[in-house]
Amino acid sequence: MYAKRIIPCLDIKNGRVVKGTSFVGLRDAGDPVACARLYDEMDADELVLLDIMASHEGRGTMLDIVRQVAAQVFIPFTVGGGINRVADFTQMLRAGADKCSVNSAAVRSPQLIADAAEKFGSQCVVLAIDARRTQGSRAADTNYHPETPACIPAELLLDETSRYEVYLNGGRVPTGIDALRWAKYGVALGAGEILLTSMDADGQKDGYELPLTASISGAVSVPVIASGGAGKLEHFYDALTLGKADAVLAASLFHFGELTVSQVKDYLHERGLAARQAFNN
Amino acid sequence: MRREGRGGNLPPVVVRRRIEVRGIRTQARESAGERSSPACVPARKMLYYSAKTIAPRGRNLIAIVDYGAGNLGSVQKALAYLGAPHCVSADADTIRAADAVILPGVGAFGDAMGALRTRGLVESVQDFARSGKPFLGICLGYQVLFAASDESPDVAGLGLLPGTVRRIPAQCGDTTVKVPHMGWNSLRYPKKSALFGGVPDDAYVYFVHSYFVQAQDPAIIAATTDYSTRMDVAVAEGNLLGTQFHPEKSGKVGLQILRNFVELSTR
Repeated sequence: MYAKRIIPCLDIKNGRVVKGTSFVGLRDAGDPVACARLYDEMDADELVLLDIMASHEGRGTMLDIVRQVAAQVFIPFTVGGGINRVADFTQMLRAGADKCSVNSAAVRSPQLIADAAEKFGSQCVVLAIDARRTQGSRAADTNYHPETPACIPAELLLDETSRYEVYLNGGRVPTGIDALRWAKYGVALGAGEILLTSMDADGQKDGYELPLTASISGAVSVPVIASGGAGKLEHFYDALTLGKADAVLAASLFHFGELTVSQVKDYLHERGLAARQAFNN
Repeated sequence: MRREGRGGNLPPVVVRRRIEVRGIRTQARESAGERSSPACVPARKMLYYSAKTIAPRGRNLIAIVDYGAGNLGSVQKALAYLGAPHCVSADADTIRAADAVILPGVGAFGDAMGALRTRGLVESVQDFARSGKPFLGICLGYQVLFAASDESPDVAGLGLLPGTVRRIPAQCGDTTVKVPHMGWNSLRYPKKSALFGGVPDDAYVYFVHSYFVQAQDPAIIAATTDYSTRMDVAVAEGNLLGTQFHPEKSGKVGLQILRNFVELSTR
């Protein structure tokens, strides 16, 4: 049976996993390759490696990490952070990544999605969207100063019906763009998957943002990965059912060992959802 | 290309030719007026070294066919991890002389067949398939084993196995699914085959595809999976093996399947 996917995310800074210090059983909890291998052992379905510095200088280090992970871990993995041009896709995919995710660069230049999809195929292109709740168009809000890139079509902008807005820079900069319409537009351009992070729910451990995920997942024909808000086992189940997500992503919850991937999968199993449980050779 | 592998023996003598491989570009289906979703990832523009290798005696060399169909890097890395001697080749003689061949594949059916033709590899691949030596087609490399695909109606496949390749329906009865079929799905085995030795029932493997195989002869089907419809996702007919899923991306299960193939190549 087609399974829902559980995807741990490694935040990488200067070649080290951040928030990896509490990783039980690892001699070097900051080593991205060791973390990736451990997650693979623990039945993670895919991995996301996020370069949170995304600096030009750090690119070489990130590429090395990608190469080493690809040589030792044989599950799909996505690389994100600082993917700004098609050449970045080329580098990362050549190094061994299976998919690249784009966020701000896609908002600033949506053509990037189409170009990357044309060259590498839609399923190499993940559109990462950071979204916050909004009430309509916020036109009356005098403190509201969105930065809307010039090449965003007017029909994607917020209006009275909008419930979520696209944010950039880690959820800090509003764009005036309706998240649902942006997701549909991105998929039409060629994005093969959506990585949807609720900046309201992120870090709160109070559950994923279900209305956000459900509305986008129901509107697009590609898989949607829910991100932001996981705190308990029930949250994963809710995101994959009520939230209609195809996959769930979590970072610190797994890093700190509060929950393991296996625990989540066992729980999903108990509640009747298909989850992949590998075997040991 | 750096040769990886823990085989021991002297490294083979390698004659290298540097060639530029053109990527396969997916063609949008303008007639449908919608963004096409390729069967798999189209090729990337990459520079490969095509090695015409002379392998030392006793070394069982698996040739991975390089026809610009991308992502053979993951297959290479998996074989390296397993310590299996292998090379990447676009050379007809090397392919014919190999002890086993893997035909990877990402992209659209028509583009893949076009790429094989452009590189003059159709005959050598067909010859190898008929040689009785182990042959494994992966993903699009599995689909082209058949005669034709709905994805590219005017293009002939390699025609090594009877069957058709159809688009995965988004709707089947009450079920609506997303296409491409992307993610992990479980296998059933209508028959025993060496490819799945040591792999348990309902094992999960990783898929990324929009088209699926319907084999004409049920006797060749080695594994099926269920999505919006039942799909034939692995075949085993004598030396001819094929998987719709990516064993090089299917974790331990995938490595076991590749290990089984490597073992077949050493017999």
